[in-house]
Amino acid sequence: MAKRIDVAGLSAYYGPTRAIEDISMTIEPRTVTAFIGPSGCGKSTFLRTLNRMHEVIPGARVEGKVTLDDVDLYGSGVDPVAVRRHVGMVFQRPNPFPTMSIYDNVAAGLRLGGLKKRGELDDIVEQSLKGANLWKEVENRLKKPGAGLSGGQQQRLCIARAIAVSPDVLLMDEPCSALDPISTTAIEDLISQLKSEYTIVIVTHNMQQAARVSDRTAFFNISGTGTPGRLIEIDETSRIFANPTEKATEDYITGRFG
Amino acid sequence: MSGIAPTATRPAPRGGGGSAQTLTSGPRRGDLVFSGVVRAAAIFLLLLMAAIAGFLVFRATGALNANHANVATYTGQWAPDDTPAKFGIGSLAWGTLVTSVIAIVIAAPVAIGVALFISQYAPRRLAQVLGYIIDLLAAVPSIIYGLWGILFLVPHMQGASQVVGDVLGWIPLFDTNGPLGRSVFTAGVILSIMILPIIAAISREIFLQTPREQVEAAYALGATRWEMIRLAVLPYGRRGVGSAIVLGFGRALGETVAVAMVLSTTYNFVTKWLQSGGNTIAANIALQFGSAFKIGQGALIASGLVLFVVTFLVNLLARRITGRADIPKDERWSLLSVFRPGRRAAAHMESSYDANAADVPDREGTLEARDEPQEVAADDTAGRARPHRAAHGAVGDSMLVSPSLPRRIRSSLAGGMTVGTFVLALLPLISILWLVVNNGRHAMSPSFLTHSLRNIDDSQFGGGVYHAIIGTLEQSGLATLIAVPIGILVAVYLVEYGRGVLATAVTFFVDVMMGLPSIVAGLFILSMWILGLGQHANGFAGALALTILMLPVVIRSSEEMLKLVPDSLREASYALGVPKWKTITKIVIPTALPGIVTGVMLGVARVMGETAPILLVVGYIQNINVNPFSSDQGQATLPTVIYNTYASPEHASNDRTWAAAFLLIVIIMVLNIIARLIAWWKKPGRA
Repeated sequence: MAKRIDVAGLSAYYGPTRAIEDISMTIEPRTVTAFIGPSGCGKSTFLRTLNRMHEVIPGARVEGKVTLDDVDLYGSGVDPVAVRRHVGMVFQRPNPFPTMSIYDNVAAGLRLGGLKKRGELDDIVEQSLKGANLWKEVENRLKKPGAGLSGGQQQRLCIARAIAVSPDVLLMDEPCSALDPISTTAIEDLISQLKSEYTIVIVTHNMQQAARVSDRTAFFNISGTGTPGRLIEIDETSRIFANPTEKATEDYITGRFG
Repeated sequence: MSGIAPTATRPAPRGGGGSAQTLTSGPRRGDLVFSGVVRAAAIFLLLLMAAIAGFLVFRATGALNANHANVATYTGQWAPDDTPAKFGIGSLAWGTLVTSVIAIVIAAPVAIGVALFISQYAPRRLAQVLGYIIDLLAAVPSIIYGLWGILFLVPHMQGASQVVGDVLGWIPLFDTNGPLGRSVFTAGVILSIMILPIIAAISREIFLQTPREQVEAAYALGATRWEMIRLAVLPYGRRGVGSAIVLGFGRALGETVAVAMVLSTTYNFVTKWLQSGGNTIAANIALQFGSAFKIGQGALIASGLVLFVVTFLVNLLARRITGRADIPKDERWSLLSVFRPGRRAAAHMESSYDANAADVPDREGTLEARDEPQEVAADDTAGRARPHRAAHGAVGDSMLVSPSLPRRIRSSLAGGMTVGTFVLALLPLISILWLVVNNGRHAMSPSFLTHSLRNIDDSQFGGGVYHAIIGTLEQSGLATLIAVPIGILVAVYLVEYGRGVLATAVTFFVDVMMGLPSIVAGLFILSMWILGLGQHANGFAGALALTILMLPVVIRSSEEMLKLVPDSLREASYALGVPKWKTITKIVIPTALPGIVTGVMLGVARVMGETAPILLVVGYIQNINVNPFSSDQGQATLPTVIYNTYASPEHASNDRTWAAAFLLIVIIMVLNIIARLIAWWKKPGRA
């Protein structure tokens, strides 16, 4: 189910402003790829172009090509709604639907897809919660509101919700930035487990986290305010942290940035 | 603020010299005086509410004691001044309830559709303009709805009632064996049009506040737009919309002249809703007041008290619903919606300080996200099978397959329906404007604006409304002069000083006043000012009644605008050593002024169209009276001219009625447009 992503010459705009410029990369299936870089360098924007969430913002548009296995996500006739079925997303702040129970949150995407059979739903909800390492904590209160969980649990609930529809790719936009270290560890463990089934892309400001969880790391940077973000380099994580090709990468990683 | 010279505001040290003492000076006199004044204004407001309740109860008890009929069940004619006195309020309350329920059943779904259309479907550039157009429905005075209702809607409703009867005739409520048209059903339809804008405006604002995370979470699951609305927007807005519906219901309960003009009066408990006949508390007051003597007035006041209590409870309910919701509790008055764009813009400005453009995209924008799925030749079978296959981890669906056909159809259908509700809501506005302009142009001429109706018979052409223009301007002008200073002071109290019990009480009673039916405001001035204090029924009494209606509007809008002034401005001023009262008068209020002016103008536009309270406290005359303080001579206003002439069978008089309506609408629309232009021009963050 995990799929390979190829990006070629991608630029993204907010109205007339170009936020990222000419990005090309390949993301292999069943790997974790981390995006690092300073604030405003376009990591999140780029991430959001991978499931066409970028264009949810009025005036936002994308140029270039993103292919998932062999399908061009921006090809004519491709439905953004369908794309997001295949490319799931976890956000910076946990965002469970506040009016829904834990169970209903996980089942939300399945129900949208028309799955109504109770038994089948039960199975998938349980598997997804187990997959998100949350099952043991919530199995006795599935009918309770999702908003009643702690921040870390909420984020794992959001991951469960995302994987319940069995996407091909899982995008994570700083999924731990609103969490404490213990919850962060739980999520990081989860990411390592999910890697066996999904292609995972994670944006993070925490370089230790990138080093811990990712197989490959991409470094983004801007040359100045108002200029678009660019991909500086992408390589094996060990290589990026030990022996980067670009000086900018080394400066950023060693804290000699700016 | 350049007006603040440090030297002018340096605190005068108390006691002797010495640098240490300048730092320990106590409260300054200016601060004490200023806080005393605003506190007094707040207390005055509470006393006013207590007086309203007290005088109504006092006047009502006398009549209730004299009543020889059972006030709850009596269904005979309204005869409180007969001996023995007989009147019943139960059937009036029933009629009030029935018309309001019919109104809410019609208005709520349409209003929610309109709100969804404007907030979720309409192109972003158009959304604000479309919102204003719906708000215009709220600006049309109730006298004009009445005129439109009796002369246009009632004749057309006979066919419509018959259709409803044909379908639902097997239910006794919808029996059609009798005269149709001037029924509670028609009254309910008119009321539904009148309350639609308030429900739509509040719902729209709440829908727009749906957290972006919720919207994105839904989209990220592959939701279509309609599914996103059901997952994120509707659950978030549930309470707020519920509260809006209750507020609309409260508004419908108190509507007076439009109902009085449309219903043909009967005093039974109406059980045949399509057939002519029925009455409501408010309409009965307007109809019976002219012929009421002492007990009669008391009886009407007693019924007004019932209305007051019921609307009070309804507004309390709305407040409770809102109190538990995650929405600001001041989202409760349609005209105030003009301030929302400003506040959103301000919030947006603040957020952009810490946000960087690329990583945190425009919060505001996402709310009206456009994500229309492109047209695709959908493979129905594969689409429907996907969730199961996806759930079991099968691979290989083509990305070209969009959500299953039924889902897509549902989404398009839902979008189409919201467009439909918007068009439906526009029809009455277009119809009213067209009729008023088309019928009003015959008598409209320069001499119509410069002559009165003195010595003009209904059958004669000529004459005009000069006398009514003077009355309207004087009464609303006086009301503005009284309401604006008090209102701003109360708002300053609430925002800058208010805490504790007094502030809670004031906030609560401003809410109560906001929901006060205008006829009750008239009754209050009648019972306290005219009957209680023996003052004259003149233009000034009318101005006082309008003041009561204007006060809550001025307070709310000023409060809103004062809250918008960033705290950093206040702190910057304090850091210069400027005392609090000068910070408020020289910095906070001037910053908020354009918004306050807008609120005041919208308030003026509203009271200018008021009919019901004026009917009670100002006698109607046909000649010019420029003195609003004259003893009991009366004074005409544009709405009362319409009310007193619409029933004439004469062509010449009808032309003048429509021309007066035309003039009134033009004045009110111009005020509304100017108010919105000011709000737009001075809006924080305007590019």
